Amino acid sequence: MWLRFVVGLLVILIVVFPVYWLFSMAFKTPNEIFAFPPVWFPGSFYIENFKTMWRTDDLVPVWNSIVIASISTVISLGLGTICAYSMARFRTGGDNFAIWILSQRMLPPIAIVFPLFLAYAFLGWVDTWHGMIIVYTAFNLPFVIWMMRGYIQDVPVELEESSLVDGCTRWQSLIRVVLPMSRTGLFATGVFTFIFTWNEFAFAFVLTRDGVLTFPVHVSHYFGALSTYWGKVGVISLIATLPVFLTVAFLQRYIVRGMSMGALKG
Amino acid sequence: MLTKIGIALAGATALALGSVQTVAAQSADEIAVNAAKQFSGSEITIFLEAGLSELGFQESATRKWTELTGIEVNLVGAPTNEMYSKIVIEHKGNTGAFDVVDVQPQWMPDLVEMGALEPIDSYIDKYGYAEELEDIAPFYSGAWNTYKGKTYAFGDDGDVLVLYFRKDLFDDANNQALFKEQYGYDLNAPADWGQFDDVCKFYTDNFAPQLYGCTMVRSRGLTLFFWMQQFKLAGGRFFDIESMRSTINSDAGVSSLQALVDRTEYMPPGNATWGFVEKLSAWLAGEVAMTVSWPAIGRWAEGVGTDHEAMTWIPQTTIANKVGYSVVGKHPEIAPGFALAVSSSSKKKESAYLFNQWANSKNISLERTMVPVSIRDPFRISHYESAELAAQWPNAPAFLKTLREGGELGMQNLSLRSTAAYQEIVSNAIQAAIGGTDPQKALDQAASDMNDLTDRVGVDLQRDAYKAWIAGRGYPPES
Amino acid sequence: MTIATEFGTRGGILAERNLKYVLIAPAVFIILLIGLYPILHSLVVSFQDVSALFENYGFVGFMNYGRLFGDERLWYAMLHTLVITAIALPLELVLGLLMAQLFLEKMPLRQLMVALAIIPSVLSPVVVGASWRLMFDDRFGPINAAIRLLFDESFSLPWVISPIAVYPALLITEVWQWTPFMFLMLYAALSNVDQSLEEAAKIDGAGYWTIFFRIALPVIWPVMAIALIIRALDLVRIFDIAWVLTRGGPGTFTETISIYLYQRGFRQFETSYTAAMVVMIVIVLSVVVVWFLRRMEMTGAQAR
Repeated sequence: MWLRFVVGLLVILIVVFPVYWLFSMAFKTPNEIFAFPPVWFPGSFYIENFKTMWRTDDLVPVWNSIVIASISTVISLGLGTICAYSMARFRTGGDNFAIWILSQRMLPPIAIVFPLFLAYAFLGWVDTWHGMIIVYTAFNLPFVIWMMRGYIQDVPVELEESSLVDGCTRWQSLIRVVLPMSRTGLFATGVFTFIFTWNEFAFAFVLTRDGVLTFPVHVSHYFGALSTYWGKVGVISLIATLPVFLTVAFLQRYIVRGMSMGALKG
Repeated sequence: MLTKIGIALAGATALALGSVQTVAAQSADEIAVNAAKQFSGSEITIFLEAGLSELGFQESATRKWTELTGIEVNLVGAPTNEMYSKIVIEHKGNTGAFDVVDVQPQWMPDLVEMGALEPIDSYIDKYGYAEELEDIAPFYSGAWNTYKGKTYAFGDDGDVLVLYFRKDLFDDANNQALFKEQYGYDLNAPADWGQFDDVCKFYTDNFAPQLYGCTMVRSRGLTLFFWMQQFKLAGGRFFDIESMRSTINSDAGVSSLQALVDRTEYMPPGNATWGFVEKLSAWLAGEVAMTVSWPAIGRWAEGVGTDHEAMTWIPQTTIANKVGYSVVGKHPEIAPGFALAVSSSSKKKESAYLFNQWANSKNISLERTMVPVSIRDPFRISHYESAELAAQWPNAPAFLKTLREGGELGMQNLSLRSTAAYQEIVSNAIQAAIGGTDPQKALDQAASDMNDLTDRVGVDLQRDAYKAWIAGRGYPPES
Repeated sequence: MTIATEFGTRGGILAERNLKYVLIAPAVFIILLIGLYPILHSLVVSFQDVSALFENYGFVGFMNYGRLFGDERLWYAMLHTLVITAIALPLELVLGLLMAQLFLEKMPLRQLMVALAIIPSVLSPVVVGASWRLMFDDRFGPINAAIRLLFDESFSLPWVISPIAVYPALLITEVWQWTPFMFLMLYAALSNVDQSLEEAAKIDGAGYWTIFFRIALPVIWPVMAIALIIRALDLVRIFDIAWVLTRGGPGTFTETISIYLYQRGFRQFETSYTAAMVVMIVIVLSVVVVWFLRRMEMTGAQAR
């Protein structure tokens, strides 16, 4: 176990170093950011950037992103999982349907964002909360459906069959047996559905102006033609990482080994 | 009875005379404010460059506008490189979301032909702006404001790319002696690119790694302006005017591109991938002897306005009072600049126009160029003659003089139909050459791509646009 | 892999025969709501001649599609994209799998380490591209500085513009950001593997990797295959990271399909031509994915 620990530590150090570098910009003065040779640790606890951003509206887009990503993740997980169940257990629509769903994820966002903008302009949905939530839900559903289909297929059919024999309806079986058994997949899929929405740039850039500004678009504003606010980039990246980091850190029991199926083997 | 009439007449005359006096004395900004008050309580949306520009607008203009007129101002920003596409998309969707659009003049032909900008001649007459318009230096109006005879925008930002050099290093007697010995002529601010390269090599060969000869941007979106200037000075032409076939791969093109690549060798290590901020930091740290860049660098090197909270991203300057100003090649590039226009799909065109007139007027624009966070550079004759601007730092008068002369002799950057696409093609060639591709090959590819594009746009259409651009002084006057 | 069992009928909307359609209906509705118009628009417009300069809505036949075949830059873009996908995907799979295996067993600070491992994926691709670009900077970046410290003091390499180093730079950045995806997906799947089976195999003397291949892999295969397809599709569409890190450069050397689409669509506003590109991409990808899925089903059936 200790060997694993050391290896794990090394791996994490390598993975996290670039993150550290980025976050350290939040605390570095401009002279330190552009120092030669590079400065490895911020010289002081330079918190000007934090103060400035707290005072202005700079952190609002992070909140906007949290709201939009959370809501669309929940909806995608809900609608996507039941759809996945139907496909996994009943082969609804067969292969063609499954391929069609996946094909939605083949379209590069920048390719379809222009006609989407036209449609949204027509509907008056540009730069609105519901507009963005719906777009991201639609954007994430194929991912949720396909991932959950895989995780649900991992749940042995025998378990469901025995619950149905016991008198449950399909619906109850889905809720009481299948979902708990596939909750690791649900968690992992949920985390990344949130992340995909969180990071998405193309749709957000074209479909918002300043009303529902999301975090990736706002961050892009820090990279100007004649100016780069590395300090603010560091701060906002640090803060923006917290929601997912904390969720994964504290809700890990949902993906940790323990809910083994061995108990139900029989 | 007669006395009463007499008094009444006298009073009326005095009143009339008085009001005539007041009207005549009203400046364009006052007229705009008064006229805009009728829209008090409403809102306009301004689309502009994101980041520092947005802050600058807020500080130097929009807050005050709201105070004076009661009109709320909404700022929508986009990264510089994405501005064009956002304007076009909103126009195609006919959303009317933007009222004022801050455009780069090189997009004017496309935007006007697309119908995205509103002609504003009638408003200029209505609100008496013609006189103050004259005060805008000719090189920032002309093609910046009008297209095919109609006015669409007010040039609002004097972007001219002049030379900044370290006077202290050039004045140093030892350096002068050494240079004379090694190169055979006197060390002065370089007059042309050949001398520029000599000087750059000189400093790097003798003083690296403490000091390098020069630094310039090499990033994708900005490098092409600098290359284009040298290309044009070397006699390069973008097209053969009869056939409209691209001639960018001529000897002038290859030699100037090769020079750009070679020059990079004498810049600080890593400069090959630098954007503006990296170069700025090297310049402010005193690590290089020369740079060619935008006017903002002049102010920031002197520490003017860099202690503003929005400027905390700028490294400390170490070269205040050490900078001299000049022009390389006599005709600097004027690029890209900004102009205030009115969106044709706006529902508040008059209100938008009034803001533009106010912000662009003599008085207000002077204030705006003095607020350092606004990154608007002097563009009016009255700016160049302003005592306040000249007092910003000891060497400011020389700075203003160089900017003014640079503008007077400057050349407009390329502006055709589908300019953005041509710029991408040229950028590809430049970046490929920096990355090691043979300049001839890179430019041959660019020429081929340009020809495809010209065919797409329509040869005759493009020839007209090209001729108009040349007439607006796209090429050096002597040629 | 699945057995559709009919288990009696119940009445009403949740009746068995209706249930399967009811379950997919909301998802389908939303997907159609957003996805239908753009793809229809693209299809229609690809047969017209629409751009920022021209608005010719007449039918021009297969003109745009014909142009696609002669477009050398498009084929290069596809090549670049293929190279990136072909190298990044296996790397992400192997590294993700190794990481998942590593963190599967209990160890101190495991929760914290797993959470930290996810962070690269949470960062905005724009920020990742920009900060890695600065990290690769020859003067200000820690990477070259570290190489200079450890190996050769005179080392100098402008990563993002050197034809030799630009693809490694891009791949490193991409793999760094998205390996956590494979890691978490496989981690979740591996958590479902029946431990008692593994224990039994160990007692029987089976080696570590034998256990993995014989017992764990068949179980996680459905998830792994899907994750691979999803990741592959995302790599094919790669845009933000590449655009910010290299801008498709030097020149068009790292121009991916999406970057080329962006240039055509948002710089030249060649709406019709890009629409034709989109339609072609979807068709090609669909064919490839269907082929892969067929193979996957067969392999999965064998493994069971």
